[in-house]
Amino acid sequence: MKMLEQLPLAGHALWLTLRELRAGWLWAPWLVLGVLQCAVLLALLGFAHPLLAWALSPFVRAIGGEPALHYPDFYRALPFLYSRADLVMGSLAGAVATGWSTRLFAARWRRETLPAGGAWAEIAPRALTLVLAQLPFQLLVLLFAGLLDRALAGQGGLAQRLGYFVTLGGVAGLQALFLYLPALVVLERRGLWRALAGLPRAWARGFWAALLLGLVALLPLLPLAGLGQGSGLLVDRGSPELVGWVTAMQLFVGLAVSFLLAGSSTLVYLGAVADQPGEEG
Amino acid sequence: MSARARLAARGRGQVAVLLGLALLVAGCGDGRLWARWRAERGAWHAQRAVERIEINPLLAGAADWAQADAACRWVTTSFPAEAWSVRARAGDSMAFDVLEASGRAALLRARLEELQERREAALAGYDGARHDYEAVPAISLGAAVARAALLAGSGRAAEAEAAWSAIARDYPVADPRTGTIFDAVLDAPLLVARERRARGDVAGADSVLRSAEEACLRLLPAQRGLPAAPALWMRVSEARSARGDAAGARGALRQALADPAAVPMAPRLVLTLARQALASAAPDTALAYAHWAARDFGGAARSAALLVAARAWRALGVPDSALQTYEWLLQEESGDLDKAAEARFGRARLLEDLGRWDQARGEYHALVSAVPTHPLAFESMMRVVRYHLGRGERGLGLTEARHALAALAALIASQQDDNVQVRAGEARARLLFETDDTRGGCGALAALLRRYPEAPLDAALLMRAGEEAETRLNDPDLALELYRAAAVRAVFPESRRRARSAVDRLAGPPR
Repeated sequence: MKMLEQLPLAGHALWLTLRELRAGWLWAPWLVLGVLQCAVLLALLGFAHPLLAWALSPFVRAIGGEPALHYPDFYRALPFLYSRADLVMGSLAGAVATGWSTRLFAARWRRETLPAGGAWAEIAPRALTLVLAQLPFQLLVLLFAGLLDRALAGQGGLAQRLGYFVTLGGVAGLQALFLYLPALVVLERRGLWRALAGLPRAWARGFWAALLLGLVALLPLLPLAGLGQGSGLLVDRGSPELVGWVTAMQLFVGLAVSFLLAGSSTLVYLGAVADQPGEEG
Repeated sequence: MSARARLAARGRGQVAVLLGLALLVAGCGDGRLWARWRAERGAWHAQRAVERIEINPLLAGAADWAQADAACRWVTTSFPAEAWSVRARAGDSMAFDVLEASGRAALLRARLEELQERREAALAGYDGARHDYEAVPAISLGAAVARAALLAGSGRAAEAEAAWSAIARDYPVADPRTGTIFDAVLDAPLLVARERRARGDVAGADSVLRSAEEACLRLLPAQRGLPAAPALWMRVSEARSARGDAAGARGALRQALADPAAVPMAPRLVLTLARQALASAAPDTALAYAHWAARDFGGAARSAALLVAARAWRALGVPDSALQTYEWLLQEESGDLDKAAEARFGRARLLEDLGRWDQARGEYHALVSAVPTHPLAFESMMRVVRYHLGRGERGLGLTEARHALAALAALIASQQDDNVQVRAGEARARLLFETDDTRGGCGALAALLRRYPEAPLDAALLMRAGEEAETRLNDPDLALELYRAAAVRAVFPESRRRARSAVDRLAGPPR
């Protein structure tokens, strides 16, 4: 499929997924992930409490340094602390939730009747494969952002801003490369190596659509990322606790974006990437 | 029971034991981190509440005062000094942090009393904090300094001097825990000396300065290479300068510059060298240091260095170079409004002294337009009016005064900043006195005092207004009000004595 055909397909898939926002059962995987993420955020916010301090204060100290253990400096470090915790969460629970959501959306687009529990029963045995299959993406994003941060350390404001947009572009590109992996694992029931081996076919048929979806998915996150980076300003202006609310908002918007990405990528996969009946062999 | 069921039961048992252990560990968790978190959060919110009141205490409602007081009180009662001092002294660093947060709240409580004009309660609060938080030298010292400053501000000079002396004697020059320099401890003897000198006790002042210098010199060998060393040399310089030993003062500053720890302070040290050289009639030396600072340091240091250079050129009798230096400073647009105002004012003064009045007046007017709320803008208005009145050009002087009063009225009506209101009001009173409107001038000052009882008005102006009200207006009540304000604000003991005797004269015998 040519690029000019893929882009309208991606746009149409996004539009159809947007229309499904009110379908409660499609939210099941993301609600579960959201509950877990909220629990992590709340635990971080209460890290100093004796019930949590023994486990969380070493984490806060290791990631945010000694000042992060103090009020209100903790709130300056909160977005970074949460992003590190969320990285683990995204690699584990997030990967499984994406696979679960892919199965639910596939049923929706195929007009099948499949309850959320039924989809879970189908994908649960593949949870480990889903986690391992998405691990390279998480690691590459971490590596890419880390290398860029190191390269830009000590550079001026313009280079930093440019670096920020390069990071965003890089993340969108990497996401496009790995976007169809959950579908390959869940819908084609491939193992880890066969799923990775299926990626070149997916790129040939739907890379541009995946790239567009990835870029569109980043848009709602940009303003909140800016707010998160301004956590120091929020603290200095006298509203440290507001950083917690901004992080929570990022969490909810991130869930909505994941929902859209899972739905639209599944539709593009079914329409353009998957072998159509009679095509295989 | 089947083997599978037994295995499942054993698994459940193990999970229960693990959960129990986790809860046990959690339940026995270290509460110190939680205590520190709550203390720091409480102290931080208390500080925000007090800062909101400090913006303008007159506008703070009863709820604001109550909220701030409750916030401070919550910290000091939840984390009492006596309990946490014991743990802090035992070397518990978290307990030390808790005690520090509690101490900050105690200082804020005393500050609230001060803001409410309850001076005795504030002094007691600071005194209590000084004793209760001895385990945290920074807090105890903060309380001692606030107490001494309040005593000085209340006109209790002898007690203030004793308080500053106690600070110099009782506290270390650097925080034993962090090594941070306690500037207040180093400055305390200089303040004592200044107070003695103002009283006319020159020998006593010199004696204090000498012992302060000797104390600093004794400490210096151990501090070489540490941040304390340049700070100590600076105090040695100030002590020598206050005794009139300009060369010795500059020598101390050069020693400070030579210390390896002086790198961050280099701009300040070079600028101080330039200023001291200028003050001790060595403009060549001042120019050399000013050029060094202007060339090697950017930002605020460069602007300040250019100002010193311009003054040095002027002192050397090269006005064209001085004017050119002012011009550079203005063209650089560093964003430093203070320095720009000083440059424009300095250029106007120089032009005025050179007899180029038209150009000077243009500079004064430009300064008033560019930074209308700057104290030098008010001073510029005065100079223009005084110039014409002084030359007998009464019509021109009154016209300029009318324009200036209209500008000040517009400023007072449009600016909400209390500081600007006070400065503009004071300038208005001065202008009215200059134009012989005695009633207007006295009335303007009295109105200011009623609206801003703590306004830092010029004591000499208040004294003059009091005399005018007493002699020309025959209004003893107004005169008494103005004399009282002058007595509180007078810096020099002689002025204070004169104002107090005027108050006693008017208030003493029943009329």
